[in-house]
Amino acid sequence: MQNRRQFLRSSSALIALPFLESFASSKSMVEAPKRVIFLGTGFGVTQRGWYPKQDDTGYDYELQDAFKPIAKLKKDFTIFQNLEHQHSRDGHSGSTFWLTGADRFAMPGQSFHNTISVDQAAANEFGKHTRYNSMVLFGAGNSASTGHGSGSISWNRQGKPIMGMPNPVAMYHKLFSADNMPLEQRKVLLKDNRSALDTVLLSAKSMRKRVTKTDKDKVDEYFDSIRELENRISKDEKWLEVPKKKPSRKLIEPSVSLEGAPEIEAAYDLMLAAMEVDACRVFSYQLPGDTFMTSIGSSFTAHAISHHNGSNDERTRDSILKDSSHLKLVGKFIEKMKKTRDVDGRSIFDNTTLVLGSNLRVKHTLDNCPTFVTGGGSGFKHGRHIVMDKKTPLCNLWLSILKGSGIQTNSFGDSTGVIKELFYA
Amino acid sequence: MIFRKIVKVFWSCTLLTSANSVLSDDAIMPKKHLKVLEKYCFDCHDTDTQKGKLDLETLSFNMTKDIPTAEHWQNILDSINSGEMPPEKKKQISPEEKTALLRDLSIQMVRARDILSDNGGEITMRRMNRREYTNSMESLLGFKPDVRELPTDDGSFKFDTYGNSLFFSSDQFELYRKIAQVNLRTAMKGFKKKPKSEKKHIEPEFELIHTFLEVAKSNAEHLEKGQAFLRLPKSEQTIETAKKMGYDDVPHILKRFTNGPGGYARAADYLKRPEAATGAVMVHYNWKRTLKYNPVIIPADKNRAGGKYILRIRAGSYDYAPERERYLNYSFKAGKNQFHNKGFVKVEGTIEKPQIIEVEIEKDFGMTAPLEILHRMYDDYKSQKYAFEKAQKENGFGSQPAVWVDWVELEGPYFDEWPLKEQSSLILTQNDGESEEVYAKRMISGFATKAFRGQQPDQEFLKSLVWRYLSKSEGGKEKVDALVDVYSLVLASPDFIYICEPREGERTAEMDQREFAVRLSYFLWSSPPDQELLNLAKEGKLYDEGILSAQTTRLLTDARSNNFISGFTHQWLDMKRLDQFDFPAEFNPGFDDTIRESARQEVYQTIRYLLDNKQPMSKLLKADFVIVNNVMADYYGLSGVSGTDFSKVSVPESSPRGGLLGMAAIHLMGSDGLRTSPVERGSWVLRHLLDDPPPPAPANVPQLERLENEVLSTRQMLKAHQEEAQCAQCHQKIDPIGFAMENFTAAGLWRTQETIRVEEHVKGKKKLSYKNHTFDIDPSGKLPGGKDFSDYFGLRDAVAKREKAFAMGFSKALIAYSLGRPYNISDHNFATSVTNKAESQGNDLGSFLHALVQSKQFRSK
Repeated sequence: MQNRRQFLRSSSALIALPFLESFASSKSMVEAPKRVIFLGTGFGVTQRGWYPKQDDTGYDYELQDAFKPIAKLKKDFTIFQNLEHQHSRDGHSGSTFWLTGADRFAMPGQSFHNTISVDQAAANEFGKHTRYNSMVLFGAGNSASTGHGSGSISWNRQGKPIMGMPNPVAMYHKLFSADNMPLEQRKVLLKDNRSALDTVLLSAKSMRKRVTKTDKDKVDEYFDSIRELENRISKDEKWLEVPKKKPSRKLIEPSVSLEGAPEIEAAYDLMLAAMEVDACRVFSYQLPGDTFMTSIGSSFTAHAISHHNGSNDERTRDSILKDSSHLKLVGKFIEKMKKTRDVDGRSIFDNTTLVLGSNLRVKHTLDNCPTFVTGGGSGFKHGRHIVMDKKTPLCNLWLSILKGSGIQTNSFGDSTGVIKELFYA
Repeated sequence: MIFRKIVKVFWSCTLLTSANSVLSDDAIMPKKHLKVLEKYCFDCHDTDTQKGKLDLETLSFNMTKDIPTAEHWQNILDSINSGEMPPEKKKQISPEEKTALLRDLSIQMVRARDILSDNGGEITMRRMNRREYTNSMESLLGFKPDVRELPTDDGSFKFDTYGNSLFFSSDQFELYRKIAQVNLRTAMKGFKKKPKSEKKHIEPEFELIHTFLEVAKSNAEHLEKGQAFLRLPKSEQTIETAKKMGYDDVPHILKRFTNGPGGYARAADYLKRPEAATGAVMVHYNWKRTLKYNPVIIPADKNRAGGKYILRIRAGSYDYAPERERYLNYSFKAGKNQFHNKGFVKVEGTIEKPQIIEVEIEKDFGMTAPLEILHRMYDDYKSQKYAFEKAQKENGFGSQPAVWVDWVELEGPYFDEWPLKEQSSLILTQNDGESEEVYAKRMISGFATKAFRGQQPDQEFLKSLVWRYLSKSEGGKEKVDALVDVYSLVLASPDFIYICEPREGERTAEMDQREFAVRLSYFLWSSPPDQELLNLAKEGKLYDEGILSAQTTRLLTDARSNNFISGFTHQWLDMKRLDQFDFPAEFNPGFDDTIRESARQEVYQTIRYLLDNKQPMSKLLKADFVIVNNVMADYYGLSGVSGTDFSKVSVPESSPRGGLLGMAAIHLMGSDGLRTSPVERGSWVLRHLLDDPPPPAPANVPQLERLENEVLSTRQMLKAHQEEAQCAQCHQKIDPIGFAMENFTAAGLWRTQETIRVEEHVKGKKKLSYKNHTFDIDPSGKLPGGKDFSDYFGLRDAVAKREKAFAMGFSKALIAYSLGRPYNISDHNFATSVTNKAESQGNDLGSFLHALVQSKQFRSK
């Protein structure tokens, strides 16, 4: 362990990090877009079933029970240990700060604060090329007892939560439903929406004149929201005359009654379809909790499962079942992505980075966040169990994904640098 | 022995620091701990080495010096708690020193955060929370809109009234606009014609349970055929005979017959009961909540209009039925697992002498959902299965039906007024000769002023709305659509969404009276002010002590004050936890969601009772009565309550009930559905009854794995906690309180022994077996700084004596909730004055509220 790490340190000191683009399209003529997918489990995982032994690292390591369903994909993914957010101490928020790493107490006098999430940082860049900047999906509703925490998994530039779609059906319609309204009428509608925003802005402006400094920040929140909607309209106008594309394979509209595992499977299929036609490149998903437990045959709620005692009781067994069922679904998703050809002749999987994890480890513990990474989109070398130094910022991984996917930035959240190991075999 | 002594010393220093806290404006780490740091930490963290950029030599002991200093101390706290520091190979801090250090550090850390976040009572303009938004919409539409799509605002802060925490995003804007459009349309279009009131009478044996009856009949036939087949001589039990009887082959008939003899037997039993011919026996066919297996009675199709309905049920209970099962549940089923306006009735009549039960129910406007009536059963699949199979094991039959329903009648909808006055003010009549423009302006301006709680809309904004209306209404033809459009913009504009109290400069100032009326009504009603309040504000009379007092009393007697009672209490007592766990019937026989809901209501209704009857708030600590409905009375084993309404029942001194400590809701919150949690219960008491909140549980504390496979009582298990220095410092204070509540099961029933079910893994056997271990409960404990007590009653008395602390904690919560910002350390004198004033007026909830609304702070912005 020590030796490998020392080696890496010394080697990285000598060799500058390779340019990321060179990974992506060294052979192909057409450059394929990079995509990122973040799947949040909300509550944490089962210590015993998830984490490999800490002294069993590198390529030749033993997978624990939860990983059995995807053991044959071992060379395609990386399991991390010891990544965490230094500021996150909120034992009920598995997703609130997971992709942001923010300090909720950063603003004196405020009891809640958040910053942009990594998916949105990617969306701000990748979204320039696609109809939709990002797809945010709430599989667990918006209640606080899902382990996901309050707000959202995705946070915008202002640190405000982004509301997700309630189910795969909504996602299907957004991505693929043809708009039956005649073009002219749609143009009129967008124009009308724009003028509606202008109208409420008049009211906001008059309020802004009346209030003092602190309250101005609140009114500005309102202004920012309206501005964002205006941007959305501008984008809609830009894409107005481009028809929505559908993948050539048959695509079935998911049923609204899907719950739990089949719901997740439908969502993954839609993500793949969206990537195939390049409608969107950024996806984040608050995975279902209670309904997921029911769908895999457990009778406990997600919260009850998170309080398993770690011995061999029923809740612990169901907790491992939960972890392995999630991985099984991701495994299927990986297989499908691998089979789908991308524009550069490689597979969608080769151009995508997918993370499954949570800000919570077990119960209310927030260190050593469970982190599973797969896909070739960031140029990562997979197949390892990597145990980082204790308290390595999770944001280092987020930064590595951003940079690895071609986004020019040198920091994200509380990052201290990229995880160099990921770029070397 | 030694341990005890140390504990005493610590308590005295806690008392000292808390006494200091009133005087000092800083969070100061006692200097004596410098020695510990010197001894164990300076090797790496002195000025010379500064490992991890931490220099303890120069680090200020005034934690509130600045945010970086506080952050350093937080890191020290975290790393000692998690066992990361001192590193394994270095000398370890002795348990005594560690406990002392962590105790002071964690307490001062909380103070430091409070001090650093104290903004001198500045109130931030706030968006209405979801509750207030719903009520505000109701005041304009006449009915409550469906707001489930909006975020709940029940995030990670104490009260949903904190302006700072109530964010706004583009998604919300779109949702506000959409909700407004949908509901304005319902209000304006759906109310053109008054829905006709109809009476629907259902004899279930003829109509609605025929699916069930068919299944029952066919099952009874199968049973008969199967039995007949088996009665034949073996030689005749052939495939030909089977085919003749209508089956494919022998296994087919046997399978149909043997797969569920219990089910077939029940079907036969059902048809045998004479009363089944004239009504519905509410049989537990099996554990599935489906029409096919349970006789669900559906007296109204989903499209019946919203409004009030009268539901009449003629029913009787079987003599053998336990009290718990003599209930019928009803609800509007709006989707898979979505039930609205749930309610229940208890069937007190018998089969021979059925009774007619009459209840008024309300159907939400714009909702499409049928009304369903079903017998009371467990809510989760696993519990239903468990109860059913348990009964089946005992009687070979399964759960016995408890209630028989003769007929059901649904009459309605009824309306107190028609059209609702809210709706008639949405569209005004055009005056003779009034131009479209003047007419539109009058209408929109009136609506906006009402929506903005008495404030006129900005003129530019209004102009733009009128222009929009005129361009859309096409000379009045599309009037409703155009109005829906502009009104929905009013309802998504900041003057509606935000509660704005503008100031001239940065200094605090007295609110104008309209603003005051708004604050007052959102505090006591979670709703906008009514015309009376706004008129008094307009006349400048609201700051008159007598008038304000009379208005406060009026507001508190209005039904809308229930919004305050439930909204405030739920958050004040952290009742979120009540909904966070399942309580499997296997571990909590008799407990279901009907009890969970009634247990919640018991807390609210008790406070309602105290308010209405001017009883002191200290009755929440100990009382010789309970406020319960029939469900809770059955659960607690009390008699003398009939009906679903809550009423007062006296309990003797020897009863554990009476006061919050004896309420099932509190016990439920202090458990995880399987076992009790003295830690949760103890912390809850410290936090909400004794105004002595323990520091938040540290993250990342290593788990005690040593005890993993041992069978221990809850008390024994927690005792082990106290061995670890990191845990001991708080748990010595928390756990002894929780121990005294161990006489209550996870679901709030009284017990003298704790039974733990342990799985046993027998080699070679696939099926799990269980073994029960029983421990006698030792409820002895003590309050911090108090005397030892020997049981729960001792705890209740000791807590009741600390009514002063309770009152202070209550004032703090009221201040935070009503002003919409966290309680600040600088509010100490304010809280004291509210508490003292309330005490001089009798200590009832009303006195606290009067004292608060009459204060200078409550009228400052």
